[in-house]
Amino acid sequence: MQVKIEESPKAYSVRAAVETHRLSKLFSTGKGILGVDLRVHRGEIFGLVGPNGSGKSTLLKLISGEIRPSSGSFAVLGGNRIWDNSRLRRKIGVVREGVAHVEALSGYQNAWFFARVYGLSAAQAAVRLEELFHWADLDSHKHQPVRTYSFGMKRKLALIEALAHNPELLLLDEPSLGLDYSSVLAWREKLVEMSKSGITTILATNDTNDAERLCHRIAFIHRGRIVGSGRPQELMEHIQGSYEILLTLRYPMDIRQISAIDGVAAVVAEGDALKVLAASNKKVLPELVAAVVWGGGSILSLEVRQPTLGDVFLKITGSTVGG
Amino acid sequence: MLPSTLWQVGVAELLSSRRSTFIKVIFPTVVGGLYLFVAPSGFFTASLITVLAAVTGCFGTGITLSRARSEGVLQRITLTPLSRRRIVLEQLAINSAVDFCQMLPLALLTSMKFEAYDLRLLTLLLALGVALVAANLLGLLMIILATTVGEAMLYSSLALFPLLYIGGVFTPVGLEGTRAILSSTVPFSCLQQALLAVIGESPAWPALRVVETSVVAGAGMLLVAALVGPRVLRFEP
Repeated sequence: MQVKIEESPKAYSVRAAVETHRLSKLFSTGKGILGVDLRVHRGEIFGLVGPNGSGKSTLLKLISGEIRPSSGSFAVLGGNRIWDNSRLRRKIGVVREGVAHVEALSGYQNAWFFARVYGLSAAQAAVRLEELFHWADLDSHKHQPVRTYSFGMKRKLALIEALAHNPELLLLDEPSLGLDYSSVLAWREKLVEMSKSGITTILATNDTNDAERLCHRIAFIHRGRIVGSGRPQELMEHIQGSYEILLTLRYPMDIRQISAIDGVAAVVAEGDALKVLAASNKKVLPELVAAVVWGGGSILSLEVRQPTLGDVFLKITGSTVGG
Repeated sequence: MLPSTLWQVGVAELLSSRRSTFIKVIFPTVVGGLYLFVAPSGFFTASLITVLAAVTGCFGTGITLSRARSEGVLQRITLTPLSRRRIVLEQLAINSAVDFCQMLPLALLTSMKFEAYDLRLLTLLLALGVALVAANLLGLLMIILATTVGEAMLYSSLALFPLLYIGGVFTPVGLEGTRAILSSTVPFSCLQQALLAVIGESPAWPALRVVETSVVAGAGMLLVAALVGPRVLRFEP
């Protein structure tokens, strides 16, 4: 594996919060990311959307300095070599995949440690944590050991730890995973509010609804490569006029006949369900039902829906974001 | 206690689980203390205490850090403004300090049993501190190779026991020869020699040599920790 890290990357834009240039990271398993070029503007909520294992977390780990690139270069808030740059890391808030806290300590002790390490004074930390624990509805649990917390509570604590020092850049890996409905709403509201105040966010998610609703721009990542990017509305233009048909079958069937139907843009099987992206052609629906029936299939339910960003991803890659 | 630094996190963790901390502190004192009264010879007493100190330091750090790494806590701490070198040195310091508190009652009990309240006790405490830093450093370095807690223990054992042998902990080392030279490079031999002096056996090294070797070994280990330690915090799968 060639290891080439450009020490003096090309001139990066001061307006960009994060800029990558042919950034690659290859693991011994053969997975990783390859030749990623990105520019995330300051104050923007930028979505990295792709299925599990597509490279979203690897890209966030590179940008946060947790791992080093195999080749290429990148700049964060105008600086590079983040793994050696304490001052740069002070400006960044991170929610990693999974949860990682000192389990024997209370939620408040954990959050206090991170707030202080990121440079808040004791007085600032007390005020900020009071506000954030209240926001996250963890007030009544803050002095309990983290080992007694549910997964959702641990995720909320990770968000508190990431936000306490008012970072300029937030790197969030599936931040709403495990949160209850009201917490998700509160979280979305917070993200938009922070964006308005100039904080940049990179949000890695496989929830296309979250991405569509929250992000100013999105990059689709598939098998370690960026396969499409733009504003959600621009991306949706790829499938303008299309619609999504969801079929639940009694048992799985061969989908080759369905793929051959004129007007079917993409089809993917997920267990006993079929997801079909069809062009705006009224003939598709009867032909689809006929193909299933003639193919020996049995339909339990059929639903026609407006397409989503997930369908754009399906059209581009031939696979679903959730899978 | 609200921790603002890594070493304070270590202390807060200890205070939060008082029962296990009590057991940790009492274990070497009870095991070593009993042995003080039944050991067939002073050499075996010194050997047992040295092995207890080495295992306490080496396995403790190996297990603690490899668990923190597999849970992602180390990775998260690495993303903070703390430098990797500082994280490693603070971890080494807090683990060694905790182990010192754990072994201190046994060291004091030994000196009381053999009525060694003079320079021999001070030499013993210095050598104990250096041996614990060495054991913790070994545990720390072994987790570079290990991916699980079990592997950390295995690699630590593979490295630790030959070092204890070379250090003259299992069989006495003479004043000359290759083994005598090698033993002077292993910090555990300082503790063994200091214990022999306290117990009243005739150590191969005079007290001054134990002090000199301990100081040089301590400085050398801190240098190794500063140079190689940050490698522990690289998380390339």
